Amino acid sequence: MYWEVTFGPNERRFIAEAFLQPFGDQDCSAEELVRRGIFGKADDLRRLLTFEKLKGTLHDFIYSMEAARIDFLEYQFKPVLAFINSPTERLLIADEVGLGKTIEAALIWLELQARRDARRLLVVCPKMLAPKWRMELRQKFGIQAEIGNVDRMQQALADVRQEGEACSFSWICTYSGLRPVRRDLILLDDPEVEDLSERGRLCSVFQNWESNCPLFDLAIFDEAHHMRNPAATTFRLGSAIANAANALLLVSATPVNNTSTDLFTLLRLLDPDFFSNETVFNELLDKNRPALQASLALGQSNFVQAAEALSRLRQSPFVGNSELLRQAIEQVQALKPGDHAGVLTVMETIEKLNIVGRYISRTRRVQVKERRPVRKPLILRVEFNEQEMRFYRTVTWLVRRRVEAAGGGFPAFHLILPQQRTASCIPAMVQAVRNGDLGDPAELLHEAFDLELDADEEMPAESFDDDIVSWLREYDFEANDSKFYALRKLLVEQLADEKIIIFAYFKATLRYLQRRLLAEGIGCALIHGDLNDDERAAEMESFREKAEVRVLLSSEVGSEGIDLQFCRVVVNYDLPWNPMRVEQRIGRIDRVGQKAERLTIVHFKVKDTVEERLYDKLHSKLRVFEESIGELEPVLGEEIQHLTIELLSRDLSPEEEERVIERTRMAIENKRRLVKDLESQGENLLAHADYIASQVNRNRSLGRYITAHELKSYIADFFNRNYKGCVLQWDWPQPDCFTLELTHNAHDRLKDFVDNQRLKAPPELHSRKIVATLNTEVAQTTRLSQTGQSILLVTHQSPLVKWITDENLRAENVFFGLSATRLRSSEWAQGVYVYRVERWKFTGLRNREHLAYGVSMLAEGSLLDPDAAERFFQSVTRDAETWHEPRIEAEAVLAQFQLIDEDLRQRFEQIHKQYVAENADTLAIHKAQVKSHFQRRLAANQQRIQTLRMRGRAGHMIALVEANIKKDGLRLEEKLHSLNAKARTGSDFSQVASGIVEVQR
Amino acid sequence: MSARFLKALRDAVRRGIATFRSLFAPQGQEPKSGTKAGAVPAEEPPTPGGPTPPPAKEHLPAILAPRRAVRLWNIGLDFGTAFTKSIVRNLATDEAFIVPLGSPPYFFPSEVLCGNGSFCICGDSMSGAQARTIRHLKMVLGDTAREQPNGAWLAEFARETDSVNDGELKERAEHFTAYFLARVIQEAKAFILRQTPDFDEAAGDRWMVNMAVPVAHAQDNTVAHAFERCLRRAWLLSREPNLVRMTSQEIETALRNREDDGTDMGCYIYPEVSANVQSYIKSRAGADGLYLFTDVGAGTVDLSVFIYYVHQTNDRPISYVSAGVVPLGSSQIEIRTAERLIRDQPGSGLVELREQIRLVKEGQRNGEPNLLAAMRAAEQAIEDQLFEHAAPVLQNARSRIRGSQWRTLKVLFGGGGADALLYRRAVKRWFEQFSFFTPEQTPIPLPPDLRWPPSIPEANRAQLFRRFSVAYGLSFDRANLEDHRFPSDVGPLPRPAEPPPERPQAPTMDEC
Repeated sequence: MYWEVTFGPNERRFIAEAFLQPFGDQDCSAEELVRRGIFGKADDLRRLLTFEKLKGTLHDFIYSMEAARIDFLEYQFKPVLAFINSPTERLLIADEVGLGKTIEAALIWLELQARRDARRLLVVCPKMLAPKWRMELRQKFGIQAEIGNVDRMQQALADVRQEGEACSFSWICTYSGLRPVRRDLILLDDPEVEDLSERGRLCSVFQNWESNCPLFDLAIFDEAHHMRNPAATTFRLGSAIANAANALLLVSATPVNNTSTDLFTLLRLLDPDFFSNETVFNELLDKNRPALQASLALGQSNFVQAAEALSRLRQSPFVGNSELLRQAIEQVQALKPGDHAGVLTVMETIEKLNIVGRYISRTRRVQVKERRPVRKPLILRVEFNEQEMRFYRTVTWLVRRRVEAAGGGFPAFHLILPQQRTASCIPAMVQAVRNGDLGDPAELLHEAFDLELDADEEMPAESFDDDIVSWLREYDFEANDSKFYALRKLLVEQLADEKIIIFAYFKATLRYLQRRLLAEGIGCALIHGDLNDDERAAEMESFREKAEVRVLLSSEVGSEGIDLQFCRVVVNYDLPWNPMRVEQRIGRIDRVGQKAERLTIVHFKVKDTVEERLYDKLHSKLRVFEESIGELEPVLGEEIQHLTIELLSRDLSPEEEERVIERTRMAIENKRRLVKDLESQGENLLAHADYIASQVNRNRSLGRYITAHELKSYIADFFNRNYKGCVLQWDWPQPDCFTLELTHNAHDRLKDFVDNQRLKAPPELHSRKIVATLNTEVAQTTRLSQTGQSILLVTHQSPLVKWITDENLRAENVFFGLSATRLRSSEWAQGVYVYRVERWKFTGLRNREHLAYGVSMLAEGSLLDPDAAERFFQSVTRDAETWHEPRIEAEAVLAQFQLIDEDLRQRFEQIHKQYVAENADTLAIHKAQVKSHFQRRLAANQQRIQTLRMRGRAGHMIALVEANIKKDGLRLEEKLHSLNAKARTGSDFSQVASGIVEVQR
Repeated sequence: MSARFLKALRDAVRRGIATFRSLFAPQGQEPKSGTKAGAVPAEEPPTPGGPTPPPAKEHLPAILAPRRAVRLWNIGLDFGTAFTKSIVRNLATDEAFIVPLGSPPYFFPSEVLCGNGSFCICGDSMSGAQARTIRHLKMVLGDTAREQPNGAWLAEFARETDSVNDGELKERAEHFTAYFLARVIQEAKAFILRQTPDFDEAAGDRWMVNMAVPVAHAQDNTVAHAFERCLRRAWLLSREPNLVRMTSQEIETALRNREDDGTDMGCYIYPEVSANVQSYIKSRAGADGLYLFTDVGAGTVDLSVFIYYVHQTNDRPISYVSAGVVPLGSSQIEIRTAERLIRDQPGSGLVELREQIRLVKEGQRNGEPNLLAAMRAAEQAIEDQLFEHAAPVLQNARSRIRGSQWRTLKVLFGGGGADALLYRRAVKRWFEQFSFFTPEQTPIPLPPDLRWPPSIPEANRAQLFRRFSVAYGLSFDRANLEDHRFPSDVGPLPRPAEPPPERPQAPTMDEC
């Protein structure tokens, strides 16, 4: 007999009676259902598991994995993991240059968004890097960030005050655009003064931000070493923003410059309470050392040494009494050789005792790439003709006169521009002199010397109309350009089949080369800092895709953020005096993803020029063209600035020039040694790096992230069960994409959700027809064939998926928690497995949730270890199919459930115990921080009272400050009370899914 | 089977059906329409001992009952002119499987081999005398049923089967068709038995079969009966243990022994186009509305405009507003291209040339410039002709539909040749010239319940599915296949529509 079954208002089907079951059966317990033989399908299990992963935050998960248009590189998730485990959510990312620190910082932002709906992001960076940040955030992470200024920040402040937590923005600002002016520094501490500059007022607001709603959920400082001088305005800006931000990231490849004080200053920015002064900092390092030693010893499987080191840690005033330390000692003593999972567990505990190391994440290039391409320098020796040399010498002589007259130093820097431009390209320089336009000095300052003017600072444009060079009008430099002809020969004869990148400082040089190369029939693309994202993308596409476009002409800043790993030849048309600039140019091709075994670095060496001597005495001796000199970055900047002024501020004979250069080289070498020493000390902070890397790999192998495959099933399942009439078409209109056409009803619901949640939805989601992809690679590389637009990447962070989860939350009660599935796999032994998945929740200062998996083999009754169980489950959710009508002995399955439950209870208790200990430690740290914070405020207020009294100010001002002290006292009590309340721990667990799996070959 | 019979079946089901909601009604409350006690069973074979009501919760046994659920399978049979495809569905799990007929991609030639008086199909070993290949069974059956002795397909059939009069032709056409279908049904049953080895008809397990017939045949009762008769005979014949190399005499004897008593055997016929659109309307994407379905086969292009919506009776019939068949299928591309090339280069082998063109058409080979030029010209000619032939079908539909409803029309493309852009261009052209709007093409989703054999790579499935979509639609049990109304059933036909004259643009305001 057939029955007509109504599934929804518009859906009916005829179903044979044999296949119907009485409604309400799913209300039974899993045990009851097993007895009745009622099992769900593989889709039920997948839906449930993905939903559980998405409905809340699971502590062990890395939500940023597979959520951006980037390739997976294990080390880029080290900072993410360090951040998740940081009790303060403040971290210094100190990776060496070229490892993608921008990506790491942005991944942390994704992680924060997923974990607690973070909405307000501020990136502060040097001016020249702002477009790069905007481009990377947009292209790789889908974050629509804008470059802001003081006015925009004021607007953001107003918005946060009005909208509170719901306010959402992503701003990129520059140090020079936000930092207070020097005179504000004194005024900022004086409560009486109102005469602050606009930027000073903004800084004051940041500094005094007290609202419960943080102004920024995350503030990122790129090139944070700009803040290493605590007396400078940039540091003050950093410390003010740090006060207004909930989470903080400092990003710098060079946290250590001259002394360990640099590192201390940056750490102080991160946590002024913990790193209150340098003496305490040094003491912290000292007392922390046993934790590092223990970690290192464990890494070498030396358990005895690890146990000894942990015993020494008992002397630490910071963690000596910690319950975690006691647990770590117990865990080490219980370790057996070969117990890798056990070692990882102990390392995880020790990591929590490493109270300094958790503030820093550092990856060095040597840790990342085992096989690196060999750099092969190719020198093009050029000799200027008589007229060219005459011009070169005249310009150099003129520049020296002017620099000498200006007294050298920073103010004289713009005066050297003509010399640098002449060295770069004589015909372009000659043309500029003829036109009376020598270009923007700021271009040189940043390109060559990493110097940046303040937002309102201006440098006079250089003119060069001296009669002394009037003779050049007579000579055709373009027709007699020795450098260009050497380049042409190289391109045509030596590197005829290569795609080549030619770097030059100046746009005029690049444009000149473009004109000449095109005239020679050599196709080229051109990128520089003035191009917008679309123009740059078009030029890059032309270079990448068109065979006839062989040359990319680029300024170093212009190529920021662009992947050029598909090339293996770099030509330095001009020589950056700073070897680090050469390194950065080479770094565009010598980076992760380079497939070539050999890179060719071409350099022009023009006889009898300053540049020739620089090359011979400095660059070649530092082996700039052969080896990565990332470690030299901290020491080069200032030395090269001094050298430049010295070489160009007076007349020097070639021998004198060589001596000056040699002196600089030796100074650099000395500093290099010093930095290495400091580095090795610093490495002591980071002994846990390997542990974190293995933790990243473990989380990935256990599937502790949301995969595109899971999302695909999740989305398909949702539209399969809801909103009939929505069209979801995979691989349409292109492979690896999908088209989703929403019904009016579904579209309205999605729109309501986005509006109510105040989510920033990409424009594509406003349409009823959405073309998107779940594949990060497709999103990175493919464009829609019809429109040429990039394809929307849908991740678990997308409003679409969030909406689905929100809708699923309403239907959670009808999800079916018992499934029978079948898995074809050779990885697992054949047979029937019984499983149970639970959600564990621990509440305290930082709530934690875990998914716990218990799996046993029905025949043997043996339990899989927790990691194996998790891996098993990953296979099941990915590949299993429904097992129809499983013929099993119900009581045997139920007995296995009992066994699994007992094991889960045991593991639950263990983790609960550890959580309680960790919570107690965190509470102690937080309490100490709060007390220290208020003590500092008390001291500052008392100082203010003293100042006011000394100035004989009115009593009401003093009363005001006294009232503040009183208020602070109350707030301290309130905060401590609140901390104590939050620190009360609780625990809970709930069943998520149970069932059986038959593994077949 | 006639439309009348189908209607009777549906009515019977409807009469006896209470919605399943009635089961959920609170105790003591009468369900709104029909109750378990009052339900009249559909024309469905009884299970042994009759249907057992689901046990009340409190009486459930403590241990899982060892009794397995009844096995219900439905065989979908797409009996094509050139190839036959089959998809079977397990109604218990609602999963559909492609029956591996022959080798991947499992399009089985609709041919019977005849030698020494015994019958075989492709893949059987046949020794002795050279076998004759009997092709185009479907078309021959249609022609003989319609009693069209001059039918285009009959001459070859008469020659190959040595039939001398109409009676022989008709009888042999049915014989050969029944034999072929029986063999395919046997393959499908064997596949089902591999999936559920415990299948046992005697224990109440059941299988049924749906077969597609062209809309034109389904509308003609005589032809429809002939197809249904063949299917029923094939069904009976499929019970014979060994059909390989059976003689005509043996077949007749077997059929006599298993006489068709006219009772419901679970063999149904269903219009091809309706079966084809099932994959769309059964999917989650399937919504009420007005559709133009263009089925591009190898030989023909079927254009059907239909309405799919809920009637007051809760039925969702597929109501055809306008339909037409044009012999401009995708094989015309290679046929016409080859004709052009041969005209220019006499002496070339036609068959080889066609094959070569097919490979170029499917992107498996690069073509020479002259071949590509000829192909472009052939495509253009087909496009122009299709545009002309599509116009009356679309005009007819347009004149029957209100303007506001017309603008909701969605376009579906099905069939193996749907990839060729010329078909889309021809349809689009009509809308651009004669309609207010150009509808967007709606993709037909790949059904999630279809289990593909591993031998068919995932990348090929979307394209291949267009050729399996009829068999897929037929895999649903008959009770769940939507009723349909042919164009002749949907109100009086309007007068033939004239295409609107092309209006030149007014050069000045004065002329407006």
